Amino acid sequence: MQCPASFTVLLTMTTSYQNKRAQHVLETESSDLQTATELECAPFFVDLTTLSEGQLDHLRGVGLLPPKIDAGLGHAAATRMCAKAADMLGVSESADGSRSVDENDDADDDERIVILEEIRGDQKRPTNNSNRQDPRNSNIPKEEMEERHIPAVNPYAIRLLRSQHVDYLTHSLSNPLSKGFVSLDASHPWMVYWILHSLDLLGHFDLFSSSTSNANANAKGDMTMREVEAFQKADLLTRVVSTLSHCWSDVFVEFSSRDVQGDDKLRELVRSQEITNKERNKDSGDGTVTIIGGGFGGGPSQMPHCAPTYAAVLALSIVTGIGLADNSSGKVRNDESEISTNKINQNNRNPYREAGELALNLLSEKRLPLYAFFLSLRERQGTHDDEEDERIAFRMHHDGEIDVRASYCILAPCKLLGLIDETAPTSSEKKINDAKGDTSSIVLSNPLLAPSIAKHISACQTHEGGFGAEPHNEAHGGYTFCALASLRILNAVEEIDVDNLRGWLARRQMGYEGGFCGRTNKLVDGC
Amino acid sequence: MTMDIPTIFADIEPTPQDDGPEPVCAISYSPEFVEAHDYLRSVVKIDERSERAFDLTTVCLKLNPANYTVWHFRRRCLIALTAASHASDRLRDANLPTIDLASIEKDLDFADRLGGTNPKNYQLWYHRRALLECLLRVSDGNLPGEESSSGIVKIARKELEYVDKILGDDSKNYHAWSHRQWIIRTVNNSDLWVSEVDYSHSKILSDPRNNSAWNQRWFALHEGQISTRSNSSKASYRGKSILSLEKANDEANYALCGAKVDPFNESPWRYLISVLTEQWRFAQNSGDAGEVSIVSALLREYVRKIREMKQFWDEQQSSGNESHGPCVSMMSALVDLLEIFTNDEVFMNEAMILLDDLVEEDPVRRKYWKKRKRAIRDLLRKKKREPEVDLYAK
Repeated sequence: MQCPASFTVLLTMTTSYQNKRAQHVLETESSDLQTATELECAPFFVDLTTLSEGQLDHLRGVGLLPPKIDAGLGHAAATRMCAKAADMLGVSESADGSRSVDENDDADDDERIVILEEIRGDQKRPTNNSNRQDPRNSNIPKEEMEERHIPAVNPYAIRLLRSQHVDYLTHSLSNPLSKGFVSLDASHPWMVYWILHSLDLLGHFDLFSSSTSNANANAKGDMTMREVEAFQKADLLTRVVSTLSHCWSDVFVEFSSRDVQGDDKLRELVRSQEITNKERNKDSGDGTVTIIGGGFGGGPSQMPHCAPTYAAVLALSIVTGIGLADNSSGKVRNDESEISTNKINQNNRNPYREAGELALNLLSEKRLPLYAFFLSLRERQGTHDDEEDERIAFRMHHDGEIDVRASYCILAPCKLLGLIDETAPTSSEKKINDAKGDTSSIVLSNPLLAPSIAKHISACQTHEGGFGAEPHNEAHGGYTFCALASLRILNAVEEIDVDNLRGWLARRQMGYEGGFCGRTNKLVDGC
Repeated sequence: MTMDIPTIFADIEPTPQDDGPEPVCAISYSPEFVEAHDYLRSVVKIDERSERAFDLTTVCLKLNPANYTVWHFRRRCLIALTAASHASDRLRDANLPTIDLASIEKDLDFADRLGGTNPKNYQLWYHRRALLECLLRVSDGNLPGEESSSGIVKIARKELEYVDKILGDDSKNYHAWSHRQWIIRTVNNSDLWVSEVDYSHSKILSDPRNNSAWNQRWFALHEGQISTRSNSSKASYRGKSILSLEKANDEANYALCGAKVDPFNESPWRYLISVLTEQWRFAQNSGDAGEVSIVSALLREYVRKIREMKQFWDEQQSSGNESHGPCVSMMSALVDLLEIFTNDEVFMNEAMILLDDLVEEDPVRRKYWKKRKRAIRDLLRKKKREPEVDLYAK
């Protein structure tokens, strides 16, 4: 799962069918917009073999095509699939080089995505400078390439300019953003997450085990350079954790004594806070308990909000994983002794370990206050007195909007933080126990697993099959993702009309552009 | 509005933003941005809900209308600044926050002006909702859940007009349509429900591809319970209200007419299939053979109609005049209907042939169409093996 940090290229073969322009009989504003979008895309769908050399040179110049490579000097070559992006695209190879094939497909895989490594025939060892300027240089000797029977790449390959993306991302992370970014002043954790996640997917934080032949081929000088780079990256991660921790805000939340008693996490939180804050956490006598909850806001001193909380928790999880995950199992070691004796990494020294520990500590510290905050965002929906019909939604923040994003922004971090415990009985089981007349002991239940939460989410499914922000709102891609992901976390996907959803999703792909639109009769969109 | 903040807040020590050492993604704030927010932080810290604090939120919101913390504090100021005389006793007893009328209207206007640059800002729309919730309470002292009065309806209409104005610029603005739904649902006045059906129709007329309008029509007819079956447990499917058979007939016809205007428009086809499918599921769920038979007849009628339409279309295409080729939306809708009749082998085979055509004509979704075909094929095979079939199986 580890790739050399040198230049990687993404290659796709063209599809076997013609992409089709959308049709309309009646011209309306919608059809005009669609036509305009298709015209914008059209130049990118040209058959490269029909272009003149001058046009091709232009495309090479702007980086949309690989540079012209003299046959004698070297070639770009396909290596084994690697990097997280390949995994997520479902195109990574297993150890024996075989690709997983969809059993239901009748030999339909004319599209291929390959991640490959570009090399130069002139095997000059890159100096520090040239490495920075020309990241395409790698260190696989030509003889080894030939030995491995690695085929040459299609000169018309489309490619992902990995190092340029990494440069843009790291620059945005470590350098001040222009003042136009004030519109994102309430979204700092988002910016951090978007960048960090992208860098992680691009393999920027991957480490190299000493067992690859690649590392063996390197001279000691290169190894040191890599170590320096790694520690620079580690510093960046530490800054990430610090920035996020400064986006945290505490907030007082109230619960009934009964709810606290029935919830082992709330009880633990009260207990831990009693030591530090004796006055505030006492049962106020009227049956309510005040707890110090909290969450991440869009920036320092901003109120806790589900969206930046989601971004922060995920970003911190990424840092934790980078720093502390066992490379083979991907699991984070919780055992303190293992961490301190460095048994984790084959390299025997993970430069990101300290940052990972900082991130994990922050998450551990904030885990229960987050839980309390999330619970305080619940809102009963509808006017039904019937408990069977009870639906519970979440607000995005106190005195904030209710929509299905909140359910996801809460459930995903809860899942990561181990706050959704499937073994705990749900509230319906709790009811049965109470009905049996057992009032002496209150059965512990996990309020996050309450069926009423899934009920609200499924109420957001529309006649079209997708999901809207609130019940009856138009089916929309973003909210559909939030809804489906939430239901997956809750193991409640069977509550919805899956067939209808499937059809709606299938219809979101645009026949000409190839990308997806978010709603019926809307335009293809990056998000 | 320029505010001399340091002078007005001379008695307060500004609080600089604490990003920690070497923050990432640091924004280069302008000096005026820093000044305004440094003072606001101090004001919020001591919870001073005053006139000057309110004015300071205005400055900050103009600089960044997405700062939800500032919006929240602004609302707290509005509530605190409301003269005691404006709050009715009933509401005070119910412990519900109120804001005086004049301030509400002023702030709705403020939100509108701020929204000019970005009508897709969540905080702006939520602010309107929060203000309106107060307004609905203040204007005739109704507590939540009580029946609406004419005063409330008037307020609702005014706000709906505002949303219409926004939709004039962007007919598919998601927040705007969602806001309309909230108003109508909250006020719950039968006239408003009916007029929303008309509103949807007018939007559909101006652009039949406006899917938000089609969605709104569904919402108004179903949630308004204007023409739904009576709300007994038998008359709903999965807790949702269902159109009456008569209304379903009307709406199916409406949708098919919409489809005829432009068969490539996905919206009316999806609406049509949803109307019919809903009736079918209700009938199945009811266990009433009579109901099943009536609904079955309705669905078969539409199978006929769509087949006719397709035949006509295919003839038009082959005659060479203005050829568009096969219409995928139409074919897909026909498949969806045919597929419901799992006991009708003719229909099932027709569906499979259509699906083969769809694989050809709609290649981007070819795997999906293949999967649909496989499902039908498997179902037919299973039936052959097990001839004892539940007549009502889908």
